[in-house]
Amino acid sequence: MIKYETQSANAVPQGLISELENPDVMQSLVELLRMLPDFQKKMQSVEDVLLFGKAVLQDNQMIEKYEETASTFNINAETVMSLITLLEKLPKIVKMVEQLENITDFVSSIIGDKKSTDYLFSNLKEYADPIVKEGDQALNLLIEVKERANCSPQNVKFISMVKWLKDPTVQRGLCYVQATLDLLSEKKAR
Amino acid sequence: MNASYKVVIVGGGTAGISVAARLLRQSNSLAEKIAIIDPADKHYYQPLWTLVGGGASKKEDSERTMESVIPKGAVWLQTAVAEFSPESKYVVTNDGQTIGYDYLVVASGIEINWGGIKGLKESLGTKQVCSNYSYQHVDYTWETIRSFKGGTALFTHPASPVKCGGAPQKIMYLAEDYFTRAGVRNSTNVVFQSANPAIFDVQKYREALEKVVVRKNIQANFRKNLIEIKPDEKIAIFEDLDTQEKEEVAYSMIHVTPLMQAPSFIKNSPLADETGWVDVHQYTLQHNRYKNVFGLGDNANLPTSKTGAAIRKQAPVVANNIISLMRSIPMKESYDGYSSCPIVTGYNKLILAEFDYNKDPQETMPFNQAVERRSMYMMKKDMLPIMYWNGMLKGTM
Repeated sequence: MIKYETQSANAVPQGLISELENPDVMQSLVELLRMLPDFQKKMQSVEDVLLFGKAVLQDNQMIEKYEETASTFNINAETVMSLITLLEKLPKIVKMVEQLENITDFVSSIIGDKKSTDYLFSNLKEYADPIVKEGDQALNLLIEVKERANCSPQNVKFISMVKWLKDPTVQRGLCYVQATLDLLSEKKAR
Repeated sequence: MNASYKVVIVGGGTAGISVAARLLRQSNSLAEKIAIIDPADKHYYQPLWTLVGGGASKKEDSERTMESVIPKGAVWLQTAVAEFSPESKYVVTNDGQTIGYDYLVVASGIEINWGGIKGLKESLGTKQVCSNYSYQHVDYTWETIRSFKGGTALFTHPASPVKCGGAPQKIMYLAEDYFTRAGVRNSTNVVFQSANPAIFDVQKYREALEKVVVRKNIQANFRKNLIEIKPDEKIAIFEDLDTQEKEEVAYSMIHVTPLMQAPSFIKNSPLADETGWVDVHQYTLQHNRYKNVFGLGDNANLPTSKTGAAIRKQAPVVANNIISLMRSIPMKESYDGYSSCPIVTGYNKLILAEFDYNKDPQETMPFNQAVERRSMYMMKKDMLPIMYWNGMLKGTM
């Protein structure tokens, strides 16, 4: 027995003993021992989680139920790839969404800002007024012409037509006709 | 310390409001933690004043209450800043309050020195002396132009930085157009006396504007700095900046662009550089000495034209860089010196100058913007004010 103990003591490397004699190492060992109860608790928690995981994996009924539910979704390799692609494109998409958000907020702001809408419509009216005025004048002219024609039906004589030809408005119109005819014949000649 | 905020913004003008709106859009947690310090009751969209002076817009459309433009979530302190203490991270207001901050944004604009030209302050708004640079007097510009019966119509550009470098000549082009329509152009001599060496800094637009000046038969003289007005005699005195000689120019009406300068409370603060403007890095807009301080807009020492369009590009850089600092990540936003000047060359005509630090054109539209266009005039008159009130001041544009 004595021989055995001697052999055992001799089997402990000398380096280890000197390490254990190091005050820093000794201090660390004391600290480690002090923390052991806490470690044990934490290990117990990890063990609980592992046991729960193991129980879930062994619960075939539950697994089947989840598999069945999952099978109702179109989740496959393509979906997963799409998700990854989407993640990859997210920075760009975020920029676009931000721009869209800015535009939406801008439009909402205008709609809610009476001063701006009044300003916009009053300026638009400035541009539209001359056109509307010209349209009104043309319409009034048409109405008047129609009324006169209806009120005083008369036979148009050749002499009246000759008189029309002298009217500056008719002359101007005829000038356009003449110019159009000239231009058309020139183009045809080419 | 009377109060302390995460971000304090000095100035509730275009720059200050834009930055506040952008910060609040980016981080809801900043609600009620951003203070805007400004003593003014009203906020003005000043680019419209050119058209007001030319009789093409109403000045009331350029005015809103300050309350209505302060972004929701920002705290408005209606007082003025008197002192900065960047080492201790606080500002002192005129009424003695001490306001602390984590981040400071200096956006207090540019100060008009009405007293810088002898005789101007006393005569402004009377005796055919007008200026578009005051809400109070901008109507008088139109009154002067409308009632003009011929003679010399004199327009000036001072020897100082100005807000929107093109504005002094825009009103001249509108006036010239009106004189033609009113039938008094033949008896009118339109004269432009500018302290600048040329009609515009950027070559592409300079060439276009030189043609406009020739076509409109405008007499343009450069390096001429207005130093005095004698309103009773209707004489303006200019100094030639090269020869230092003085010359008198008789006028029938004069539109004056006043001298402008850095606000005195900035000029005398530790934030200023040797020229008096807020000393910021030209790309990050971060102060060159105080890393939690940013500056933008007219009061910054950036080597570009001081315009609202420049602020539109500066505001997101400041807001994003501040957010980066808050999140302890590197600042990645950079300002390239973009500025823009919609130069009205007549009723329904406009050259849209856009350029960067290098004075290279940086045009947005898919056509040559050096050509006078009606569409661009409509954009300035009808669209830009809407974009300003509802986009820029809301932090979306």
